[in-house]
Amino acid sequence: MAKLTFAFMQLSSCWGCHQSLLNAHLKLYALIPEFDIVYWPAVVDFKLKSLEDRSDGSVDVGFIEGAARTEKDKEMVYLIRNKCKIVVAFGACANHGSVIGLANLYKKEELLKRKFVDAESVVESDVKGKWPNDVPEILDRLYTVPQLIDVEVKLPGCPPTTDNIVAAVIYVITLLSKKPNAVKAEKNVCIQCALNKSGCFLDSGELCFGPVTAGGCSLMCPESGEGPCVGCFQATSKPEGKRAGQLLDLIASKESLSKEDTITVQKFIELYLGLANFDFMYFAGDVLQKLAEHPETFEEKTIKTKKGQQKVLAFTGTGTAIIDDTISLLLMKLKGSKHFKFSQASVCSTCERSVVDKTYTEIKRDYEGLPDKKKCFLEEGYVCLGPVTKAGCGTICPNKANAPCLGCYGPPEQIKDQGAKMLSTYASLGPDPKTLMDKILDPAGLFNRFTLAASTLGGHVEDTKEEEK
Amino acid sequence: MPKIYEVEPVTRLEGHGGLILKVSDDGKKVLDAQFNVTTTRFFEKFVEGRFMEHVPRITPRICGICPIPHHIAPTKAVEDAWNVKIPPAAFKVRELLLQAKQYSSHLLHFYALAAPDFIYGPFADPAKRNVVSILKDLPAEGKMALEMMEYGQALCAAIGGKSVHPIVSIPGGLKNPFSEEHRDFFLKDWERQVEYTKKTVEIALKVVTDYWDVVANVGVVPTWYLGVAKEDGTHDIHDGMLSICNPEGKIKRYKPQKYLEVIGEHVTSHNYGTHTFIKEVGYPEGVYQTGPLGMINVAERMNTPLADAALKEMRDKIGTNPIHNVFAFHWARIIETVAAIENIGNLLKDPDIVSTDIKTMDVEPIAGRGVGMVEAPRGTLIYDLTSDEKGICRKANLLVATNHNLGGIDKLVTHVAKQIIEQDALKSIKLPDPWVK
Repeated sequence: MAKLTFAFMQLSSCWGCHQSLLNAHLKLYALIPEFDIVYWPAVVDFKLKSLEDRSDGSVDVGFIEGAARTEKDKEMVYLIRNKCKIVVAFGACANHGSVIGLANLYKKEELLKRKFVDAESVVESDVKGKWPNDVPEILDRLYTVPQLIDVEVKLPGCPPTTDNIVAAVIYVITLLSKKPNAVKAEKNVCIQCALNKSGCFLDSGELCFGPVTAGGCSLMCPESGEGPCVGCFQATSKPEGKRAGQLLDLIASKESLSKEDTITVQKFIELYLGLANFDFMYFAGDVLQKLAEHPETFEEKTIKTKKGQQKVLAFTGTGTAIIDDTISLLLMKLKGSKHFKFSQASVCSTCERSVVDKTYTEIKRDYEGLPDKKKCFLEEGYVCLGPVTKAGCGTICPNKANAPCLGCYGPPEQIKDQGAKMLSTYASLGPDPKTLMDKILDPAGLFNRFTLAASTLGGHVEDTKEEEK
Repeated sequence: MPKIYEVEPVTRLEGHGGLILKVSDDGKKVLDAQFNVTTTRFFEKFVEGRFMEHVPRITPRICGICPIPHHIAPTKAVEDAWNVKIPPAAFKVRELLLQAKQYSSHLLHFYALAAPDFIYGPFADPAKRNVVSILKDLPAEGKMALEMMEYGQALCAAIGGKSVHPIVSIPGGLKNPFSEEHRDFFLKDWERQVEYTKKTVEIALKVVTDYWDVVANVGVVPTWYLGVAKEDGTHDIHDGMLSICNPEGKIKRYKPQKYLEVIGEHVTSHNYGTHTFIKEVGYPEGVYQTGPLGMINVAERMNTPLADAALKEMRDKIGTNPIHNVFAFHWARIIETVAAIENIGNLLKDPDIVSTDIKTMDVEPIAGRGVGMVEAPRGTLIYDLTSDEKGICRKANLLVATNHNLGGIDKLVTHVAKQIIEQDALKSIKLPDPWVK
């Protein structure tokens, strides 16, 4: 098989994501032979034209570091989208705007004027009272990459940790290198299973995924008393016909999924489809994430079961019709289950600092004193975005550097606005409103430092009424 | 109609730039050459309104390769504005952090960004002429380079919390002491790193010897230089005087707070990076260069023995002071790398380095203005921050390495373009056989 091709695009950014990738150091020896670089200005001398000359969709993976600050950046985002099959929004700028999104608090003219006209050291200008004009134009506001195009992978962090990047690269390589239905298992679990003849879980109405799962595993959960098969050996190319039908009908017969069934089904889909289930990363191929966040993007279709025609959420990709149908039906059932939860962990869930009572009585500035290394920052009075920040970073700042979380990984997917959520956290657990007002003098900079551009307000909002007057 | 050649983008560069070369219609005369920065992110404006103590936790994002100086310089500016004195141990740990970054960044620059040109030759296929090929073709050197960078980056992370975008520095000192475990760990590997550095010096000297014709004759352009050094002229990346050197080698030193008297910015129509220049000379005559060569030219001596000997060797071999040879930048970078590993050793051996007295509790915002300056691997950083009485940043003026270098780069690129186009220098220049063909 030909090697995968990777392109790395750099918009307005700091290079830190690339530095974090290069920090893999000796691990690079294992990674680099896995792909060919077709564009990577930071490292390789290929010019832009060489990328433009490639045919659309011909590059396997495109990483975009940075946010769109200029017209040129915007063009580069579209260029990568056109050339690449999978686009990775790489780092905090690409995903949420990062600190440079704070520029959205100001009008474009204010930004340019400060830098090129009013700065104390500006003493001469070829463009008196103005700013450079023979350059790619500054956009009215800064845009994140998902605000401009659909992306398949979101890898946040300022920067994403080296481990996160390596894991994401390996995951993407593994997925792309796999042909559909790569596990050409000719057997299935039922063939091997002693319970097939008598005592089958399906006969007693319990969900067991043995009929659609590749055989050859040595664990054999059903036989060994562990319980029904959870599908971890992934798809077989020859499902056990009768039992597979029985499984489909059993699912169809369930009016709604119980809590236990919901958990079983979620676990099955994760294991069976090899979903990474990385807290730190969004992957569009992750059907559970898609179901939780964008259920409307699934197409519906109808399948036949013993219970009659059933509407399902179309899923394909296992190479076998009955397995695709089974998963399609499961997705529909999950969608209807009130127990279906797809939530990502927060930094707090991985933090070693001890929490006493989750009440925040005062607010301290970071320069005040020195935090006790064992206590929760919020309880000590320091502003920490742990509760509203996606886990996966390794919890370095609170646990290794005695510094509160600034929120650089952005919010877990179930939280829409990191800043708003932090405000609401303080409103319910924090000190009295007056203390909050007196101390939180910069809510945007404290609570939306890395996500302002992607937040509900998005930045400076014109008071149009004032203008109408 | 002049002919316009464009290089888009300029590669192996931290940042975003394009190169434009304008040549007369008969193709014989160079009219202009510009290296242009094609985007800007407005840190100067959006740090306004932020807590002063958080500016050092925002500005490292100016540069992902050199976030550490962009962490320390604004901390110093806040401390200057608020009149805060830090414990001596905090000063030493910050210095260790800066030296660790200097070490890894210079090595990244030398091995990953610069070396491909020398190892494969400047005209090799781009698919070949890069660090990925070096890792494949010269695995022993490649592995050594990676282990050196890793040492520096890991040391940055051990002190700074994260190597990219550190979080440890705070007005008043540090949030976290440097642990004894870390000290022992890095001290254990230090001697091997010194050996590696010596090997790197050999490689660099081989490059200088092989490419002597290039070093001695291409891009030898007298300019001014700017850097940081102690009042007595000793090389210092952490806490020195703003030092300038004229093309003839006359050096002047100023307190960082006086920077507005020394340098000004010139805004051009074609570049988001402003061109700084020496005010007393004017623009464009007063453009200057900064970074390792600037640092060497404004220094009388290095602060460690091996590096100082290496500096003397360089000055003897080139024969001028200041040194105007642009290809001597790499050589100067290696001398600073030697200084970095020697300083790392000295600091690791200093008992103060693991002191827990790293933060003064005496920190109160006051209205005022402060300047913080340190040397980043590619040039001097000047942070000028204004605080109100509540400790909110009201104004920020930042001059970073890119500003300082742009005028000098344009001058150099124009000069080299003339050498190639008007004097057909490529015909006469002697290039060695590539190490790897």
